[in-house]
Amino acid sequence: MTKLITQGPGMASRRSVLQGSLLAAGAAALGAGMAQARAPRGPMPMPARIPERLVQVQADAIAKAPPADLTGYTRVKQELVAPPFAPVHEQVATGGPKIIEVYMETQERLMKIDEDTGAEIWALTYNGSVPGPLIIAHEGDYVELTLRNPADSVFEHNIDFHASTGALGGGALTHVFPGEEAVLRWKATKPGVFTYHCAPGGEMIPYHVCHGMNGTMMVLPRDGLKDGQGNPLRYDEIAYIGEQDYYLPKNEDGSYKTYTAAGEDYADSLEAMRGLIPTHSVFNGAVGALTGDKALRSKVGNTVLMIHNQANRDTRPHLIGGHGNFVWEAGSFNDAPATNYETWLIRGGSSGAAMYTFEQPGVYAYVNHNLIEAVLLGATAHFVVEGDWNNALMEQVVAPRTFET
Amino acid sequence: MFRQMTTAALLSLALTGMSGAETIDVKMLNKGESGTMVFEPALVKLAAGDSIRFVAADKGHNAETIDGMLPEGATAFEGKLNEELTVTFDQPGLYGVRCKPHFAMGMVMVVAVGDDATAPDGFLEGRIPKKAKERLEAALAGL
Repeated sequence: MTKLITQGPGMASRRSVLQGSLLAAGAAALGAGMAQARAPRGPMPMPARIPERLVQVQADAIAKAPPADLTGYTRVKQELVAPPFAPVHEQVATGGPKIIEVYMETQERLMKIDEDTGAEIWALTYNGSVPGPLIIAHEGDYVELTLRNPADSVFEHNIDFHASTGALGGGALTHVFPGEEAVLRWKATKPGVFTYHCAPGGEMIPYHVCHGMNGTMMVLPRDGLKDGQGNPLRYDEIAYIGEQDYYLPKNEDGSYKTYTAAGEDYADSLEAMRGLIPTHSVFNGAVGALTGDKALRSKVGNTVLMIHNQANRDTRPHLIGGHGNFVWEAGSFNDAPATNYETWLIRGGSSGAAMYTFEQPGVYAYVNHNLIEAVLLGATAHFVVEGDWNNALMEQVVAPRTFET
Repeated sequence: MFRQMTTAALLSLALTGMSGAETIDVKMLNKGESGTMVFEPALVKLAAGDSIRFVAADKGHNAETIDGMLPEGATAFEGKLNEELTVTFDQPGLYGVRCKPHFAMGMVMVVAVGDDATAPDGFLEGRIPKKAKERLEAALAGL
């Protein structure tokens, strides 16, 4: 039996008891010396670990399983692109089911979050972007992901696809240390938009997710999207928006701490995250990533499918000056879309989709309609829409003028 | 410092009495003689009943046993980030110890308890990051 004694606060209860009794014994021996010992702060849960025994049960089951029958499937490669864009894809599947090969590399990189304040983070990413790239398949297709972790990485990474079934969403089968790669193939059986994220275990899970390691997997029905009456719904473009809550550690004077390498902020970050109040909540990695010169572009008459991912925290998108004409709030394309929503809720740990057809030109702000988060924390994007103004929909009857009192 | 010394004195009294058991300091460092993210020293040989005090010389580290790398009957331990931890090793054999956040960067060490502690078969056969494996092998070579 190994005995252990810990100093400092916040140990699990069994250890605290052990510590207490030992210190008490010491106090009896040393008298006043006991006054130097700090009282434990009380039990704090240790990060959950999945017992080795259960992992083995799964490994044994996998070892016994017959191979999947992949006859009739065609292999295709999907070139992933950085958000807010979508990879080349069909809305209505042609041909038989496919095995869609995708490649992602875990990249740990310093990213500026806010030019104004200089806030930055050693982001943990898939393919270098926050959110990770949008992946698109159709129901019945396979996704075959090669996940590679470069040799000079700091961390182990993996991926949990909420769209997939079994093995912690593939998380249990994709752990890659620096210098390793793994290949996972899973069948897209449920149409919808789903979060994927890194989940290496314990405290590493929120740490990786809150450093950018999440994104959306979209599984379209083979015959495309439909409204509640079964009529086809088609989009002209996709706006893929990942909302990221960051919890940046601060110095005593309120400035943001800086670090020289990925992972150096680990202890400080976990402490900041415990407060649950993000320092930033941004679209596509940084304040202003989708505003001003980087605004999303569209034109009157175009239909946009807005895909919103939030892997960690509830949010409530709203298109100022527009609507969610068709909204798959919880992300399932098996459900009839809600119509004409003003604001929709994206539950933390999910993706949702909303479709809108622009009817007026101008600037639309797409925000998290907790407006504190939109304006003070960064959750704002812009659509700049070209086209002809329609006075039948809205007209400024009197421009602002002074009035007689 | 005073508190640490006092506690160390308490521990040695409480745990070891007058048996002569020792407590060895191991520093958890961002940069040491053998590279970045290290336990220093990376190999410690103990007699049963001796202790290691893991000193949080730099922030952001912890010390914990590596799954599958401890003797039969020994209890795993898991230190908190940024905090000092003293562990007494009563069970003879080999222990692999890691820092959780820097495991992939090779922050590992070996504790050998007892005179004839050798690596059991399969000690390095679990899932271990490349850098960690290299350092564990180097530590084992020093036995």
